[in-house]
Amino acid sequence: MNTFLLRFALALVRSWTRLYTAGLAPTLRHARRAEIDCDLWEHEREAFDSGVRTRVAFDIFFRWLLGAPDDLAWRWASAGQLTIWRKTVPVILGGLTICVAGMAFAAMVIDNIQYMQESKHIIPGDVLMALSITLAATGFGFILIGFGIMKRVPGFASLLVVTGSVTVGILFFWLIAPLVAAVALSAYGLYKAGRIRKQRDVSVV
Amino acid sequence: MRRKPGLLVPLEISILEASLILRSRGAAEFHGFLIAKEVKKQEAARRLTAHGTLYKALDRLEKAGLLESRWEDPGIAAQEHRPRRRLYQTTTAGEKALAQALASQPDGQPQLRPRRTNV
Repeated sequence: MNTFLLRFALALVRSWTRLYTAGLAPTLRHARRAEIDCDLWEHEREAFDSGVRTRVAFDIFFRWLLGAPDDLAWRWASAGQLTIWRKTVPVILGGLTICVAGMAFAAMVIDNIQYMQESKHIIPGDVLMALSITLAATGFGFILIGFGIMKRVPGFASLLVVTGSVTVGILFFWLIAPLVAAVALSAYGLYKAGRIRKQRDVSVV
Repeated sequence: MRRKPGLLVPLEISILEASLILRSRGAAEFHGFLIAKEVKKQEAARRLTAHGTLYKALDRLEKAGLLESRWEDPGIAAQEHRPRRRLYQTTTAGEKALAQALASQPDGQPQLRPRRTNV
């Protein structure tokens, strides 16, 4: 569980960084992602050296949560040349991601701790149901929006589809076929995005 | 709320102060995680400065010419099996700006003061 929480927190921050830097100028985007990757690596090393993975996972989570508004403000200030569409959509989706991922994280932790202590789930069933419905709606929403903008911004769209697919896949684990299809499509989108980015980087240089 | 141009916010003052403390210990350059740890230590804070807040502040300080940065030699990072670090250094302008900011503080004390003490 400790390692799972740590991995979850690291993946969350990495995904978030890719989300709010999507579409920015290559130098700016690569620099911020590399800097955050380096920071997370230091966290990870500290966690494995000291053996206090849960505390480090929470540290990472709170650093992400408290800094997210500044990330969005930084994106807004840095995205001067982007269209309003590309400036706004990631910001709105970013806000949604904060809420949903935060709820999922809190629910997982609380439920798990209580289950370990008392061998039963104490969160009321209807709360878990409401949480599941919210997560499902968000997951499907991400998938639909991702498919909708796949041609225009394939990289960002793939990230949305993967996030949505994983969310839906976790909730309805029996939906393996659509999950695999979504991931395959996302992989294609990422490949296409990589090619577009490479062309853009070459033209910038 | 818009900030006045040229004015340092508390976090920026903390970063510049911590960088000078690190320099006095022989670390002329620092990376994001290191400065976050130093600021936490100096202020006896409960947790590290948030990612977004920290890197936005570093970005602002660099744009203002108070810090300068460079990417670490990839060979060193590869040798230590870790990602490359972005290394920052306080400029002379940064030192001057910090001295001015500290002098203009109401209590005028040029030392970092712990917000909480572990008694």
